[in-house]
Amino acid sequence: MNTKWTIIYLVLPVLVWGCAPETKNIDTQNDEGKAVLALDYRDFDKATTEMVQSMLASGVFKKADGSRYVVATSRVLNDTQQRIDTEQLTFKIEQELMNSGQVTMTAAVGGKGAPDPMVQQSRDLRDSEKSDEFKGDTLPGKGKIIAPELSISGKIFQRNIRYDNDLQQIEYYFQLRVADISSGLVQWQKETLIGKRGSKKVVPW
Amino acid sequence: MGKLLLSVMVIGCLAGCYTPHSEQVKLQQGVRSDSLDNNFITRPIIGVVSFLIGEGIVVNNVKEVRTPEGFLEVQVSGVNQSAFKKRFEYRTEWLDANGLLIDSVMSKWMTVSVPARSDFAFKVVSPRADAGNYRINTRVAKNMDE
Repeated sequence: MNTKWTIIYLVLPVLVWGCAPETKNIDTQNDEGKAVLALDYRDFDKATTEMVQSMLASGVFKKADGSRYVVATSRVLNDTQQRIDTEQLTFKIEQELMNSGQVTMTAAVGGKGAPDPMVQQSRDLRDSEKSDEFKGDTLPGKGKIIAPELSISGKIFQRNIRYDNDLQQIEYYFQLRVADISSGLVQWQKETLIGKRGSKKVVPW
Repeated sequence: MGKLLLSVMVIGCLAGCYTPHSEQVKLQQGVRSDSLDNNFITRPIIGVVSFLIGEGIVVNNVKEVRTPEGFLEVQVSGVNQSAFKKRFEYRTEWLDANGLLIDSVMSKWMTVSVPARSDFAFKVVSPRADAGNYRINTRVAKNMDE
């Protein structure tokens, strides 16, 4: 009896392990994997590409004197049912805009996640008693931070629609705008829609 | 049998003659009037032939312009010769003046859907002003709802 159970205990894990699907890396360059109801990296890539192409083609970042605009990323709201870090969108857009040579992004101010806390922290340090510990001319001086001229803000939101008895339709809207901070005028804006249909039984988050 | 075939052909012919008024406006079957060479009798045959000879997307024009900011803007236009809707994805790789690949988020697969026997165009913009050349690759679009 004991021998029988020992064999079962030894063989069963091997069988279960053998049936588990093999883990594979995603070929992110040529991914032909199935679509998913939730937003995945392919959707963010598409949205980013459309947004950046539209921004660059619009000429919104062309400055009359040939210099670069200083741009801040303001708030990008996640109004979907998924836990999305909106930086998944904004980080790529910032990266592409900086690489384009058209703008300089600021880390001094911005929405959630955009500012670098060290910018403010080093100034707090300068004004504290601990400043004696630092070589004076290595601390940031007053009036050195460059204020942003343009701001990027937006929203990602989701609509769930009953398609038929078996299917649901989920629409994801990516909305972004670029505003002139001094005048408040919107210089550019775009909406990108990513729509999916799938089983009603699947929860899209 | 001969009379039946003749009758069917006559009905087919009487289904209507359609001459397109404009090259710019494309009327799909079911919207436009039937014609002698495209009606409810001939359409299935046209579809089978189109499938058998493997008609698909043909690119007939690639236009390049520099935007005032210096970005290279490329428009690819063509036609879907097939009797069926065609969906494909394209990815653009940008090269600088030295022929080196420009690393960009914008080199991603993007989808195009073209109705049967219709023209299409898509535009791409270079990520940097120093882009001098490009490569566009295509693949069949999958995971699309009908």
